[in-house]
Amino acid sequence: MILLESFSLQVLVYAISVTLAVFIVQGGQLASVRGAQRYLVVSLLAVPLLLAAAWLVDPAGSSLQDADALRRVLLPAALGFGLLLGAFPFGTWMPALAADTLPIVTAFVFTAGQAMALYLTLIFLQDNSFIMSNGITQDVIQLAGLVMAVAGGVMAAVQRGFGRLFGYAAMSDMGVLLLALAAAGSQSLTLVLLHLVSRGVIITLVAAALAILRHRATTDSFDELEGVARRLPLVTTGLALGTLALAGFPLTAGFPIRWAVYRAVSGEQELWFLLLLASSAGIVIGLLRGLNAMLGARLRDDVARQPRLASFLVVALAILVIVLGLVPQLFLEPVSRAAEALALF
Amino acid sequence: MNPLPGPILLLVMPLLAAGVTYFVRRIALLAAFIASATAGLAAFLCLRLPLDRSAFVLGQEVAFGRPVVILGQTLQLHAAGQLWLAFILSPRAGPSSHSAWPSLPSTFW
Repeated sequence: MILLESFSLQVLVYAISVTLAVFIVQGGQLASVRGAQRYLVVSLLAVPLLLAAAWLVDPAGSSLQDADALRRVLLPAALGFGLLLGAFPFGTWMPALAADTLPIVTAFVFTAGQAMALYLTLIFLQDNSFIMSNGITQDVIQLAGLVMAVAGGVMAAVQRGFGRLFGYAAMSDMGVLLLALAAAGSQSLTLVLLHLVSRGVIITLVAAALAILRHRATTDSFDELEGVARRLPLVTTGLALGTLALAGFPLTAGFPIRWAVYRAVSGEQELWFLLLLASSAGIVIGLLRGLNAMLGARLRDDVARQPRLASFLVVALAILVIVLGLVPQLFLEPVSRAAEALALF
Repeated sequence: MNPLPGPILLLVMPLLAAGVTYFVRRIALLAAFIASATAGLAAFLCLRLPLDRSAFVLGQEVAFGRPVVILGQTLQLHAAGQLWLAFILSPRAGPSSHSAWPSLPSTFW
């Protein structure tokens, strides 16, 4: 897809990739098809809208300046990219996928899959720079990002399992990423790409910890995890640290982008600032509810102790999450090169 | 000898790996290792190889940024795509490879 020149072909190759990825997503899981089905439906629904947007923009090219024509392109483009990126209310596949699918497959979709969706978005905006330079587009992206971040945070607070909590936290994080794209000024693209790298590490950490938890405790439901933290202390720590990072907690890899977005919106839109804080708080509340259950006094001899090799992986990822929180510019050089090549402004 | 275009390398490597992993699919760890190593190598090449000139990879001259036409479509790697590809391939390269994890023995977990 990345090697192709034509946007329409890139969209079609993306659709084929998603269709094939569903077999990996569903692989071995017979109990529920909800996550895979929603992912497939939402991603494929985006295809005609994106092709329509590309078709509407092509004949006019750079002469497309009047507001009506711009709105004609904006509507299918906004809907298409909204579906593709899981913007509210199209993001319900994320928690469903996280609840039903193997955690590492979820991590693959949340990182590689969503990175491809974001790549398509950025390429479209780069090819049609007049869209991004219009204030309406930036407002639409900001609003979509804010609603996604807040909805994800609020829903995360009331979940009863770590799988769905992971899905909503990732959804909220994606909202913050979109908000940063439109709100963080001239360095927004560099910031977004840096966070994309950090997000990959954070999501892999949560997925690794969740995979061990599900394997050892056979569930991720809060009700059935009482006392599990004593048997799986490193896994519990990894899960907590990863979820805190998705909430943008200081000293974690998720903090730099939240900090930049808070700074960008705190001056003029104090309500947005408060809503974003509430979104982070929602994820933390969801995590605390889970930890409260896991830290219960019940002895869990039925849960085997944590495996050494997988625990080592969790510890290594946890250290990387903290290092990326302390030194967010670690991957600045390659990311800056990508940002220069994709310059939108 | 003409340098090998980058897109060919990026298309052929995974296809070859897919063929090899099919034949060793009963040895899950080996198949997972081959898949992860291929993704890792491709990610490494994406990060290291220059687009504007050719470079030598295992004795073979590779022009990473050179376009190639397949089925009437021009395939070319640009700077943004090069790093994006590295990012997408990286998570599949380590032990977190999505194909490797489910096949790992239960002692891993």
